[in-house]
Amino acid sequence: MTAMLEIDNLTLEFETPAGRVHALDNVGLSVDRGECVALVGESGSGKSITGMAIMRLNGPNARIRASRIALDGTDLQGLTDKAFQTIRGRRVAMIFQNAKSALNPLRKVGDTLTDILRAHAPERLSRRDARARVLDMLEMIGIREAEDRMYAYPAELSGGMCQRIMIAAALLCEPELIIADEPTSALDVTTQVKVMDLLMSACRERGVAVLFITHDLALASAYCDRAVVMHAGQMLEDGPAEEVFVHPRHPYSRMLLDSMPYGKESAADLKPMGGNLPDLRRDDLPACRFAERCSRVQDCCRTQSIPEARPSEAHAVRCFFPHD
Amino acid sequence: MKHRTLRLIAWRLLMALPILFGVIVVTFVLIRALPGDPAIVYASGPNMSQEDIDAIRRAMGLDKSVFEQFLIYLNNIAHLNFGNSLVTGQPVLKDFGERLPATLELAVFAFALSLVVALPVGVLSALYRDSWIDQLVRVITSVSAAMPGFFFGLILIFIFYFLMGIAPEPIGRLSGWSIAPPTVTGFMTIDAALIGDWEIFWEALGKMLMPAASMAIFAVAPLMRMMRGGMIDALDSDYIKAARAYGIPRRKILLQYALPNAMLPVLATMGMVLSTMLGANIMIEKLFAWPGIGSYSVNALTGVDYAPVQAFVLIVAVLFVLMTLAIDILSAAIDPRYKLKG
Amino acid sequence: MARSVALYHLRRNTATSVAAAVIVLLFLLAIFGPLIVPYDPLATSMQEVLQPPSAEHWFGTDQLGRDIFSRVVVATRLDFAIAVAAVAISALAGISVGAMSGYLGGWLDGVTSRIVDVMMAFPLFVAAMALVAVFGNSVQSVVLATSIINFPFYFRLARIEAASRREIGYVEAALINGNSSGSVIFRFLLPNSLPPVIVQVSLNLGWAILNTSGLAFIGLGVAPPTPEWGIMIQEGASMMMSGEWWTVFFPGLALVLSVFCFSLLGDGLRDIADPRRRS
Repeated sequence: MTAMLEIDNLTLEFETPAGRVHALDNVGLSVDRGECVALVGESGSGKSITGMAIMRLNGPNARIRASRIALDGTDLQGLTDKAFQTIRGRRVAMIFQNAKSALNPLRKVGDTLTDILRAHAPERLSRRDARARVLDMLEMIGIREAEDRMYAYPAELSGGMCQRIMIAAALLCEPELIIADEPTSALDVTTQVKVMDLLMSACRERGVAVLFITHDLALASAYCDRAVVMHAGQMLEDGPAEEVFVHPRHPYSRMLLDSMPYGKESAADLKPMGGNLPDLRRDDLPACRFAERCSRVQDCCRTQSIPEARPSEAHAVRCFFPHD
Repeated sequence: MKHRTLRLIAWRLLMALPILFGVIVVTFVLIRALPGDPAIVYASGPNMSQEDIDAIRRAMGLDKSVFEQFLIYLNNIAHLNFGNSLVTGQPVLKDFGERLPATLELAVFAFALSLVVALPVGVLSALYRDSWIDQLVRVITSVSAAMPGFFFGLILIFIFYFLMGIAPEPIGRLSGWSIAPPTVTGFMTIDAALIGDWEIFWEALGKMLMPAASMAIFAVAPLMRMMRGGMIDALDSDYIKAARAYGIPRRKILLQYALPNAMLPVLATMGMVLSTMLGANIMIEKLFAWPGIGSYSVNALTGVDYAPVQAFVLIVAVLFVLMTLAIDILSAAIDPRYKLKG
Repeated sequence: MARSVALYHLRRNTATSVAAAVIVLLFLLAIFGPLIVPYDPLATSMQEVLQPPSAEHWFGTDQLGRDIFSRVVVATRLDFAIAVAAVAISALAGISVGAMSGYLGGWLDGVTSRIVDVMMAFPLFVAAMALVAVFGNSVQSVVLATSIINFPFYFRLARIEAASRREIGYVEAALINGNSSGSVIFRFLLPNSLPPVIVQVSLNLGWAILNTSGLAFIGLGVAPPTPEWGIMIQEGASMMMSGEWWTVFFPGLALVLSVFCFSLLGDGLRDIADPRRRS
């Protein structure tokens, strides 16, 4: 069976006035049909850039190379910009961190949703029919007083409500994959759970695959089937959520987990993250970009290309000296 | 939603009232402070005896207290009584009525011209950031911001009237031998169009071109800059990124997502633009001998004829306050966040 | 891409330095100009009326046979003096009143702010014109009028700065440490509003020069035969229609050059003072 999303050897650099930023280095990951994959790592580890790269939204100064960025078996890289329009929002939808600023502040949210639907309507969809379908969708995901909401401007709605609207927007064209980029990080904790429940149950019901980008390991382990750990633009560990979060193999995954307050007996068990992400503008980055923060580091980590270990069939670790 | 907008408009009008009152107080102080005896200023014949002047003083209430005089002034304004001009010997109101349309026609045309030039170019320069077009725009805005309209006007006169001979004589609204159409609106172009005299219509339009360009030159730079900046901010925003991620067509993103948002900072600078244009109006009318209220007031001022000056200042300030108010209301109509702020 | 952005900043810095250099040069001309010009700027010569630019008269002569080059150079002093005096007065007055108003708050702040709102209700040039009429047609009036119309900019700048600093709370810290209100305003609040004020001063000097020449152009303030750029343009205006372009062109060029350099310098300083707002 072909995976819903397959990325192989994705490398991305930004040309900036301050020099070339080596943002992504040989990233590879895949998401199966109906599967929810968490993409985790510190802020700045390249998670969002990976999501944006799939959607071709990195901006004009990004240089992308990849052996494959495939959706349901077809490589997207060959598509013209025009053909790619049929992917965006239609087959792959995206949910952003700050829903309030992701909605046009001068447009009623109902109009924005209608715009999205009409952009992908196969035949000429009348405004009225489009609105009716938008209303159905809002009601289906449990938004109360949906009709009134459609006439509201983003500034008049709460952050949680805006994110619900964005979820409706994402589901509107029945996509096969949703990329959710920190969808709940801007919300308070109680709203966070409600919005995550809504997103995940809606996706499970419809069999939509989800790439869930987050720095919150608790959320990732609660909602996802698989987890991919990223650090400084490199993919370090990829495996079933329970294995990665319960028994991490990569020293970085372990460090990440140790720094999280969840499930710790006492504060003494909490260990702060050591060191900082390396400056990605450097031209002398070590082969494993975690080398400079790693307790298990040896010379080969800096110079030789990193081997991939497979503790189990579905679990991959890119490290010379993984934990057992 | 409608309700909120109406309430907002009412609130803004209310807020403008103290400013308008302040403007009236200032113009009142202006008459009192102007050099020369106000009685003499108001009286049309300068060779009068002391008794005549005293009589006028009493007639005008200048022997009363300042407060009472202020009330009289308010009353006069309420009745649109601005006194008489020494130079023309007519009531100032009548003089203004004859000249205001000429000023408005030129100002409206100049303003439209500056918008038509500045806004599209600003958008282009944002869309093609750092391209040659953007660099060119940057040079144009820097230079035109430093260019006084009267100097620019003279350069235009030299090039298009003297050197190339394609511009009409830079004096007035029509050439001496043309017959003006009967006054309906006072706008020469519209009046000509109304009677179907297209020859006069084109002549009037041609006569306006150079003065309007000279007036517009100062407004072009800030408008272009704000349009470019607003567009760049909009294009870099989350909602544009999201709109693109959802596959909304590029055209629609530009016209319905980026452009309205980019217009907000442009509207915010509009007050300053109008202020400079109202000032430029005085110099440009004088330069092109345009029979409007600007040149009339300057001539009155240099002729020590103060009643028209005071009326001019009052009228221009009130116009300016009203226009700022209109911009404010327009911004509120476009931007829902504005209403939330109150 | 990377190169073009870097180049842009470099060019922008170069532009700022060149603008600063030209301004220094103009100030030198303002000081020493009258000593170095080849002719008496007021000396008329009926034999040399309206001569085009030549080796003898670099910028030609005007309708009274006066040397335009000498007049343009000598005019620098008057135009700059008016601008500097006017901006100095408005900056000092605006900042002190603004800082006080923002610092003290309350009814005083309310009243001064309303007064400034009313001042802003008059278009700048119209206000300047009316004020010159009130103060009498003289150079001093132009200085005073220009400083009054620029007052609100400094007032608002200092007021916002002072009010926001007060809210942050480090003024209280200074008060607790035994400083008086006056010394808080002058030692803590004013120095902090200095960078935006310097930017404003640079931009304002340009506007003030424009304003002065504009007033002179409509016959207010500086009176003929004093050499001043606006007057020279006004006197040459009718010559432009008969082709004697140099009567207007050179004073106009001097005017545009100085205003242009002040605004370039202001933009450059703003980039330095507040890198976030780079345009």
